[in-house]
Amino acid sequence: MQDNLSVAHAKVPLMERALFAARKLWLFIFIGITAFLLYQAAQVRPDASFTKMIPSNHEFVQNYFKYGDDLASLGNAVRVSVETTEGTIFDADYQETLRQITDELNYIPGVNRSGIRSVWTPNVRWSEVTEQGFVGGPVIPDTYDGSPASLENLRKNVLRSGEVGNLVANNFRSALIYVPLNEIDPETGEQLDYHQFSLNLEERIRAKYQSDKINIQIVGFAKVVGDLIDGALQVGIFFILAMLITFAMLYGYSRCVRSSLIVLLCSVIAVVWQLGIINLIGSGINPYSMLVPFLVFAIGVSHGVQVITAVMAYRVDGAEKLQASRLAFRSLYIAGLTALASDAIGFTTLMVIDIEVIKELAIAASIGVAVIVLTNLGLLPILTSYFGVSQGGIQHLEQARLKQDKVQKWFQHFTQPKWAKPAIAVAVVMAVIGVWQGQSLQIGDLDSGAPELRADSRYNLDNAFMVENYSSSTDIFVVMAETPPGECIAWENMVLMDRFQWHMENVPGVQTTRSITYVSKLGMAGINEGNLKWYSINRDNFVLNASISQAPSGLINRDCSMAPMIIYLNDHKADTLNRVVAEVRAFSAEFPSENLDFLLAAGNSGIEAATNIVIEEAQFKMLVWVYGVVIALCLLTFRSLRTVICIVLPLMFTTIMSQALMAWLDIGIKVATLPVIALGVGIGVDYGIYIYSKMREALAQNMSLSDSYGYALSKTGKAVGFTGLTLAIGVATWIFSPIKFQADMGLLLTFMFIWNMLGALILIPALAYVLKVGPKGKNKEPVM
Amino acid sequence: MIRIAVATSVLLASFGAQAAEPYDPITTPAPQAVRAEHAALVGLDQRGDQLLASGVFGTVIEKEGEASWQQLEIPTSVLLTSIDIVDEEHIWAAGHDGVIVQSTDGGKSWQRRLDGYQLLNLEYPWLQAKMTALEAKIAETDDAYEAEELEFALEELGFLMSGLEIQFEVGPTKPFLDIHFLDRSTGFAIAAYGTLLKTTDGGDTWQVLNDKIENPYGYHLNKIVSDQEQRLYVLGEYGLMSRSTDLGESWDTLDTPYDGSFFGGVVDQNGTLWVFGLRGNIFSSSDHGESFQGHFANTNYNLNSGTVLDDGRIVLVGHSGVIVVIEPDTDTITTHTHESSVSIMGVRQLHGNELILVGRAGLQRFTIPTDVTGMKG
Repeated sequence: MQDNLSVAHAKVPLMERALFAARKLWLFIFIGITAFLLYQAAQVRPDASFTKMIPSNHEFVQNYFKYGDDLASLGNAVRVSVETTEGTIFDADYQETLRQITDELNYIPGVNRSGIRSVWTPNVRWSEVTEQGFVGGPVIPDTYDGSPASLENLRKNVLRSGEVGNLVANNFRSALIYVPLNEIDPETGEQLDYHQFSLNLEERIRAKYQSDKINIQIVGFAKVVGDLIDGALQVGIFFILAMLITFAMLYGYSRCVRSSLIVLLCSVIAVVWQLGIINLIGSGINPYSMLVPFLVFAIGVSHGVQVITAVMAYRVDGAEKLQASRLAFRSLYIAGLTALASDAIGFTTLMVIDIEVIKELAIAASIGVAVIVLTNLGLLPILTSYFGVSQGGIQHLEQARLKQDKVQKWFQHFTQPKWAKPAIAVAVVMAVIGVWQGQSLQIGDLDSGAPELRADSRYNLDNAFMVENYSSSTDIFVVMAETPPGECIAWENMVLMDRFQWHMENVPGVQTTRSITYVSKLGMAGINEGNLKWYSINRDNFVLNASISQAPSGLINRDCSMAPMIIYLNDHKADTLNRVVAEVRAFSAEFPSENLDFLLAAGNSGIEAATNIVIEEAQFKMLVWVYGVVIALCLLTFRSLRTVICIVLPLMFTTIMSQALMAWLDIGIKVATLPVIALGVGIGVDYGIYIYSKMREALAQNMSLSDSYGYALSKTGKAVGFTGLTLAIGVATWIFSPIKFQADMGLLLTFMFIWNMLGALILIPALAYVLKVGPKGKNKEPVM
Repeated sequence: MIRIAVATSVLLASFGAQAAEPYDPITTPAPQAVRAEHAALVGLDQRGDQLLASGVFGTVIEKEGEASWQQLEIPTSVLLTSIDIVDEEHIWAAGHDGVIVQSTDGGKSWQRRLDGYQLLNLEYPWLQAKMTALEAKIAETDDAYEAEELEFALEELGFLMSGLEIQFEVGPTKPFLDIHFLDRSTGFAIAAYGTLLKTTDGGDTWQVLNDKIENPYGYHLNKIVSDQEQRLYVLGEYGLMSRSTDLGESWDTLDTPYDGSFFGGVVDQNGTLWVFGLRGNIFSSSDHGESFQGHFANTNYNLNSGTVLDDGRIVLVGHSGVIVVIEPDTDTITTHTHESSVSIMGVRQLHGNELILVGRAGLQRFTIPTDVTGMKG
């Protein structure tokens, strides 16, 4: 042992010499790079691009992209509902407010002014059939003056306008303004800034008009994205919270402010580097990859702890601060590199999921882990070699060494049959229950409304209000009926679309459908004095054209090569979406047509169907990859099948339990939760590697299993426990995120980190006992 | 001749599914639908315990007694606008694209008895003969005034002809709007643009009687009504109303007090004819259409269809859920609104005040309130 303290030892590794020979130079280089990357990191942009969150290479999404522009006028709109808390909407004050809000919306950038609809816009008309044919007029005539007579007239016009359930709530206590958006500003050519648009709605509409008498509800894709960006930015605050908690824990662990600060500093530097590099490679930070800084920070801290623990240990043994730092580096850099490499490889398995945000997360996480190698294995020992550790910390460690660790002794029981067998039995029972519970695990989002946001979020409350008071669903599945240009309203195509609509209306989970054929049939009845005996697609193209002369825009595209078939669903559960997809295909197979293709799929539910398909395929692939990598790494390191079983089975147990937890909490497998499983396994394996490598050292010296485990615990037990807790705390703050999927990620990761740690500490010794690891005949008696 | 054609098209239909032939609703069987009861239904008839409703996509649903509604197997997918139960076995339904279907076993199985292609082959030669005859007449006449009149008439026939000719290109577009059989052999089907067909051999052959009704502009014929003495009334667009007392061989144009469209008519237990239509207009005639009396129902919505209840009351239904109940003896009219507010196209009595309705939202029920909460007319 004394020999090792010599810095001039012949076996000093090259890496160590390279690092410590030019300490000052390295320090300046680190400072320089940090300054540069800090500047870069400050410019990282939040990036909530819609196309990155969806599987853009999937056939459905490709089809959607093909007609994205044509569908934009149909879908991208917000609906602003104005609710009166007393009486009905047929009230002069209320109508004045509704008029003001309608006007105000005209001036918000991004709004397609010509498309705004409310009872106050001239494009909303009533009509009826008389002996003379159609008569009609604007719902609010020029003569409106707010008098009781004109309000009564308004009531009549609303009833015959057919807008009840559409622009006017079924209970007449609210009315809404339909606000279509321009994705690209026609004047400036600029992309719509969803965040700013959402802020404008909040400030200029909600804050301004909401009162005792008036409630405002706003829904629409743009609002979801706006709220998403808003919520994601709030998560930034959690980072500071995570830092404070971690610092408290570090201090509690080491009783040394100096080294706690050094660990914190190096971990923050790792985050700065990671963010800086993200910006350098032209990437941004999305609501999913926001997890990465938290992970990088936590992983950085856990490795930093290893280093300062070692430095302190060598200081207690009597080494100087430089010597202690060098020795700490020497004893840790291989283990650290291996662990970090396994993390990084674990993250890269996420690349099998063909969704851009997940790939970005995988890249960001891999960069982050690579950076930790430099900051917490490189910079950190340099800093300790200058600043050392405080005397208080050294004394704390000295005292701790004298005491028998009760916690360590408790865990050591698990190498004994009396504890090992029940532990395994309990685990097996739990695993069986877990598998059973996990059967009900679903693909996709299960909550209603905007699943990205919490059920009790402002947005989802507004959405629930809309669903309750208006006749519309927010789960929209669009099939694109594609024809040669100019033929979208040819009879032979329309009549098939019509039958398609009816076919889909009979699929369980479908509420209703809308398309140009519906408008045409109503138009036919309209032309014929409202007689529903004409409610059919007419073969005569002149008549057909006349029937759709009043069709709202968006139901056929500009060159008449595509008509969206809009299918309103009860919910967006995976079963429902799968059924819809299957029925669309079944119909196409039953009625093949040369000129008409029913292309899947657009609308929020269509995209979600594609996402579910990709997730379902990736789920198995990813598990195979991540476990394959972990098993290969363990085999490579330990060259023993028994060891691999000891390490991997607890991980699998955690995976099963976390899937059961997801099923229990109604969290589906989705873009946000699938990576969590890979991250949990990738990071979770570290515990097993640390513990087992120390056990192996002891076993190699022919110590009994119990003693070997005791040795491993004394060397790394605390660090493993600490690492588990730091990682858990780093991500646990996410549970409070306003964004539902971030909260889900936080919850699951916290669960997996803690469960993996306990699994490693309890199940590895128990499994080792069952698999008869250790010298023969020595397992019975604990030598303690 | 027509029998052979029908048989051929049935054959074609059964092969249609296999071959990649373009979809044609005439020959494609009606889709079996879990939501058939919620399909838009526009035809409704009742005989004893049996209720039948017809509508979009060839949907026909049946209810017998207390059993639940069943969808029947119909060999077409066109909108069936009208359904008529003749007796225990014989049921007819007619609809778009000139389709008429029949069951001779009480609804268990159905055959297509006429389609728009066959209808074209009936109407085209008939119209051609009309025009040739008219042209001959014009050539013969010396009276300049009469010649001009005849030229006008010829021009009108020319319009109808071009309407038919378009159908040779695009396919049959003419919808039947009502079908009505007096017994298992004699029946009538009326359609858009003034088409009136009659059969006396249970649908084996059809006569074109369009010109028997004075209808120079080819207005739609919406409804055919018969009374106990087998008087027939045809109601149509623009106040068109015609009566026949010889089973449709000749028709007298009736003077109506209204020039808007009539959509429906019923004959009550006193033998009084009630007709109704656009914008809530209701008229009655107790002298077989010689004179009419107006009734005010406090609604502006179209009245589409009606029925006579056991107790002699008359129920009319219309757009936006309007339900009008008439007590003919006291001329008391109450108007109600169905909660769905959708268009109602047919009504029949289940029992007492319980009504079954069909319309845009499919089947619905309504109970006539016993305390008079409706608005008095």
